[in-house]
Formats: sequence, C-alpha cells, structure tokens
Amino acid sequence: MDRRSIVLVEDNPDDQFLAVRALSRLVDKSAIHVLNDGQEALDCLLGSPLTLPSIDLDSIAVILLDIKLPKINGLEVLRALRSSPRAQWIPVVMVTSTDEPHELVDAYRLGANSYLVKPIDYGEFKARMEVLANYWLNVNSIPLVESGERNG
Amino acid sequence: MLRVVIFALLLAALAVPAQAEVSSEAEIKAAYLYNFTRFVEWEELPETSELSLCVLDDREFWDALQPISGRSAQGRTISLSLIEQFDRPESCQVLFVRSAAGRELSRIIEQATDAGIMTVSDIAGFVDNGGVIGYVKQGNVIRFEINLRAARASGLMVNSRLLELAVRVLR
Amino acid sequence: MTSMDYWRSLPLKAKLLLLTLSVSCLGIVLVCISLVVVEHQAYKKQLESELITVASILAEQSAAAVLFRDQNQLDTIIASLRQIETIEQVCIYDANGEVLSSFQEKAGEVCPSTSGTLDEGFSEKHYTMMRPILIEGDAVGSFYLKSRLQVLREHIRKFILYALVISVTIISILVLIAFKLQRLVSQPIQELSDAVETIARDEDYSVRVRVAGDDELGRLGAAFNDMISTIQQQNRRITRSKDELERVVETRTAQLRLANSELEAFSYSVSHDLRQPLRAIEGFGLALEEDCADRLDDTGRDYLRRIRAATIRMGSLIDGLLILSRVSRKQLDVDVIDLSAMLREIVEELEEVDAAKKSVIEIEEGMKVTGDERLLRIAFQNLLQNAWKYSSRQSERRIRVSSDRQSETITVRIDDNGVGFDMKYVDKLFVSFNRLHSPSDFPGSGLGLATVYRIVNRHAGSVRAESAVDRGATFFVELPRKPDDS
Repeated sequence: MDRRSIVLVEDNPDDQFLAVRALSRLVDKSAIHVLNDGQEALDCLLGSPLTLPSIDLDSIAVILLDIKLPKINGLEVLRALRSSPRAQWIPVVMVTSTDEPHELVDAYRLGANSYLVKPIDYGEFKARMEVLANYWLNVNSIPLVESGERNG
Repeated sequence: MLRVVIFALLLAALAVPAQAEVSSEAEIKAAYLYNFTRFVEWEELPETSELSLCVLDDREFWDALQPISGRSAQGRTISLSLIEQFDRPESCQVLFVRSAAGRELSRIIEQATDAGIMTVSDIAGFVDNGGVIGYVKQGNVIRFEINLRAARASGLMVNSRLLELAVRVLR
Repeated sequence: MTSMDYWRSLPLKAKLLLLTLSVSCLGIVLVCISLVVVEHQAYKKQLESELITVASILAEQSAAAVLFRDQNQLDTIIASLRQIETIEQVCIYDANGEVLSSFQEKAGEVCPSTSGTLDEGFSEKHYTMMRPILIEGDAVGSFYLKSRLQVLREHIRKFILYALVISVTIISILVLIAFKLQRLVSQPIQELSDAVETIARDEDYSVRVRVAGDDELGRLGAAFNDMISTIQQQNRRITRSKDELERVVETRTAQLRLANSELEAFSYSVSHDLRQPLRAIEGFGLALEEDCADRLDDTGRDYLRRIRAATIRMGSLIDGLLILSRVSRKQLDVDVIDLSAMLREIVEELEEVDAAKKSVIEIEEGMKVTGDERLLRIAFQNLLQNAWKYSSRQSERRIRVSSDRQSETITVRIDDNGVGFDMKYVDKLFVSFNRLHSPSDFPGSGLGLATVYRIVNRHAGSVRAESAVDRGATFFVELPRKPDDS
C-alpha cells in the first residue's frame, strides 16, 4: 500500500493553516490529517481503550510533531509512538519554534527522525516544508510492520 | 745529789772551757757581783746617779772589778771605791768583804744592814752570819748563797730568778 | 647539643632553681673561702702571739740563768718547753752567740748562728723567731724558737671541714626554700604558658589565667586575660558577622537561583510564544501577497512588504536576545583554542556571504587562548562581523587581527578601516539595544557587542574599543592566560 498521507500535530490554528498551505502544493489536502493536541494524536494514532485508531498507520509517510502541545507534549507522544510495535517505524519530524538544545537532544534520544525549526520567514518555511515532504513522501522507505509480525 | 753531779759535769764540759781563756776566779766573781746588782732592788737609794760599789781592803778583787766600772745597773752608773775601813757605810750600796773575822765581821754586817747595803763576800758561812750574798765554790764552779732575811732587813728585794739560781737560800 | 641549647631547653622552673642555687652556692663558697682566709690569718696571728708570749716568758725566765750561766736552770727551763708539742727546736745563746742550752726533736739539728741572718716568722711548715734576752735593755743572750705549723694546718683543715658541713646544710635548706619560692615566679608563667598552649590547640578563648599580685607577672597575667577577652569578643563578632554573611549569601543565592529559573522560563516562552505570532503575521503576510496580489495596488504591496520586513527584524531581535541569555547561562567548557584557525573559519563564512568587495584580511598566526570554544566563537564572530559590516563602504576593506602576550594575559586586537564611531558614545557601545548607527545605515540587532561583553566577562577578561569617526575602529579583547598556552 502506498504511503501518501501526512499527519500534522499542531495546536495553533494559524500554524495549522500555514503548514497545510505550505504542504498543499505537494499533497492533496485530504491526505493531511491535522490533530490538535497530544491526547488527540495518541487516540487517533494508537487508539484508546474504547476506540480503535482512526488513522490507518500503514498509510502515513511522516508525522510532523510540534513539541509544545497542550495536555501531552510532543516528546511524550514521540515516546508513546516509539514504544508501540505498530507505530515504531513511522518517521517523526519534530517541528518547533526554537532549537532549545536540551529539547533537541531529548528528541533524538527518543527516536525522532528529523528536527525542524520553524523560521519566521514564511517563504523560507514553505521551502523547507516542500523539501521535507518531498523527501519523506517520495524518497524514503519504511519497513512493513505487518510482514515482520506475520513472520514472527 | 745526782743533780749536783750532773750539774758539775755539765759545767765542767761547757762553762769552764768557755771561760778558761779569760776568767780567773776573781774575774768570775767580779762579773757575778755586777750581775747581782741587776737582780736586786734597793728600797732606798741616795739621790745620786751612781751605784757605789765598795771593796773593803782587797786590791786584787778591786782590780778584777775594773771592767764593770762605769757600766750601768739599776739605772745608775757603777762606781768603784777601794776602802780601807768600813767607816762610812752611807757612801756604799754594795760592799764586798774580802776577809774579816769574829766581832769585826759582825760589826760590819750590822752596820751594812742598817745602811741598806748589799753585802757580798766569799767568806765561808757569810750568809749564815747575816751577810746577804756569799760565794761558794763547788769544785771548780763558783756559785752563791743568799740570805733572804738579811736582804729584807737591809731593805733589799732580790729577784726570784736570782733566788732560783742560788745554791742555798736562807729564809 | 651545645650547652646554650641545653640551657634554652630547660623548663623555667629548673632555670630559676639553677640560677638561685648557683648564685647562693657561689656566695656561700666565697664566704667560706674568705672565712678560711681570715681564720688562717687570725689563727696565724694568734699562734704567733702565743709563741711570742711563750718566748717572752722564757726569755725573762732564762735571763738570770744566762747571766750566771746556770746550765741546770736553763735545762729546766727548756725541759718545760717539751710540754708544748708543736715546738721543734729551742736554743739559748749567751751574749757572744754561744749556745748555752738547746733542745731539738730531730737529732742532729744544729742551732742557727746568731750572727747570720735568719728568716724569722712563718715559712711553709714552720714558725721561727730569734729573740734577744734582755735585762734592763741590755742583751745578755738570745733565744731561738722553731715551731711546727701542723697545728695551724690542722686547725684550718678542721675549719674547712666545718665550713663544708655548714655550707652543705645551708645549701640543702636553700634548695628546699628555693624550690618552694620559685613557684611564686614560675607557677604564674607556667600557667600562662599552659593557657597559651590550650588556646593555640583548642582555640578555646574562654581560658583565663589566675592573676596573683601586682608585680610584672600579675600585670602580665591581667594583660593576657584582657587580650584574650578582646580576641574572644572579636571572634564572637567575626563569627556572628560570618553567620550573617552566610545567611545573606544563602538568601541571595536562592534569589539568584529563582531569578535564573525565571529568566530561563522567560527566554523559553519568548522563543516559543513571541515567535509564534510573528510567524503568523509573516506567514499570512506572504499568503496575502501570493493569494490576493491581484486585489492589491502597489501601495498595498509596499505596506505588506514593510510589515513582513519588520516582522523578520523582530524575529532576529528575539534570536539575539536568546543568544545573549544562553551566553549568560551556558556552562563553560574551558580548553585551549587555536584562535587563529577559528578566526580564519569565521572570515571564510563572511566571505561566502559577501564576496563583492575587495577585502584585505590579516590574521596573526599561532594565537592561542583558553576558554569555551562555542562562546568565544560567538564573540569573535560578532566582532569580525562588526568590522566587516562597518568597513563595507570603504573602497577596500581592511581587517587586521593581532595579539600582545603578557605574562598573565593575552590581548587580541582587531583593527578595521570602517566608519568608526565617536568616542563620546564609547560607554554605550557594549550595552544591549544601544546602537551608534541607524538601522538604515547598518542593519543590526544592537545585541552583538553586548553578547561579546558578556562572553569576555564570563572568561574573566575585558573588552574595550578605540575609534574616531571615519578613522576605523579598534577592539581590544583581553583574556587571562594559562601558563600552558604557548
């Protein structure tokens, strides 16, 4: 199955809008899942005791995860994803306002695949988002979780 | 007795040879006489500077006395006079009697005693007759005897040292 | 050990005792010696006068016997002298010097001649005398007497023995008395010494010595007590002020820690919360430009461009502030740094960005400094950027970096041929947000030199600048030098 969707975890609506706008040149808007906070991200990606995941994990090419999130922050979401057998290989790009050094270190330690500082210059931001989306959608390969499980 | 013998022997050995060259018996007696005057004190002496030493009629002894003439005794100068008769007892302080006998000697001694004269003689038994000092000859040695009573009667005081040397002292 | 060292090592007690005893012993010995000498003289005189008396009596006794040469009497007289043990020899002569009678203990001893000279009086072992025998002032003979001095020697020996016994007794008594009395002097000193030792060992300033008497020792003790009281009070005061100081330091440290964490929280929220709206303004500005361009005229587009430019400038201001706050908070990783290499790298970066103008850059070789590489890189980046920026209008850009090494410091000097500045404003140079040039002339955040100042300060160094308008500027960075920097 083709991995064509992008998950954006971002609490600020302006940022949501601008990010989706930047990505929409490369990806169909329906392939962009916008989640508003950490809790919602966990529910939709890993499911809750009452619900099943609402997003098909096998369709996700990359998760863009903001660090500063209400309720459950981005780093905790990352940790949860990396400890889930189904989500552990999904590429995660941390997207944040600053390059706070300790956050950078923590992110990589928890298994982030990339780290992006949102520049103020929107033109610059657009350019970076295009590069990023292009890479993760068209260049990168991810192992299949189901086949590993079936064989094991 | 023994003491006398030793005394004599010693004198013979020491004294005699030492004097032999010069001393006749008269000379020794003369020296003794001078020495007597130095150990006897007179109670009364005339107011002269002389101590008159009279020799009664003995030329030889007078001669022997010549060396002591002018010497001093009792702080006075000794003067010698040779007298024939003892008729001026006041002019003599010492009287040497050569020889006299019987009543004559008694008279002389009596007069001399009255006059405070020291009488000296070599007559044997002179002191027994009231004389003050008498020479005695013991062998070759001439000694003397003293009649202390007679001396006191004559107003003479005899030095005890002289008495110690006397052969006999009549008290 | 010399005797002086030995003396010094003796306790005071022993010294006092020794001094007292040696002085008193010396005194006693001197007294004994003089007593012995005096006694010797006195006894000699007494002996002589006794002998003279004996001789006079004998002379008087024998005078008559000599005159009358009464051997018997003379022998009797001499015989009486045998009773006197000390008499060794007696001779009686007549006026001519002829021996009349004699007695001698030792056989064969001969009576001395009367004509010859005779050493009368005391000789080593004997006392001898020759006396004339007189009668009324006339010498009628002579009398010779020789007496042993054994008696004198025995007497003196006995006297010395007594003196010794008495001295030893006195000294023993003195030892006892001195032993008791020396405490009067040594005890206060001993106490003082003990007190000093206690204080030195335990730092116990409550120790006091007993003050007895009004003499020098008493005064010393009192003065010592006063001194220790003063020290004790001062100590108390010092301890109290130290405690206070510690409390103050603790409070201040806590306040500082709080301020620091507040600052951290502040810079964190600045970086996140202030940047987010800016991003929105800028983003929507661009979106407006792109999506609604056909509905905007030139004026609208110009306004929009200005809004976006201001937003981006504010973004760089926030970045500058963040760097400044990180520079202040970052832990120093101190190492020896090849400054020349670092400067060359910075210049290369600058040339990459702006290679339009001809630049003559001179960097001294082999400059080494000690410090945190990342911070120093930020500092020198700022300094070189400044030099680069302000000399951009010259026909030819000239930048020269050199160093001056002193024993404990190294001063790095950066000269440029830029526009310089007026020395009137030199005080404002290193203060945040103070700019000497307008943004339209030379863009900048106004935080670069403040950051340099902060970094150099954290390295215990100093930075200063010299310039004149249009004559270029010179910046001096003085850093402490470790002995191992070559």
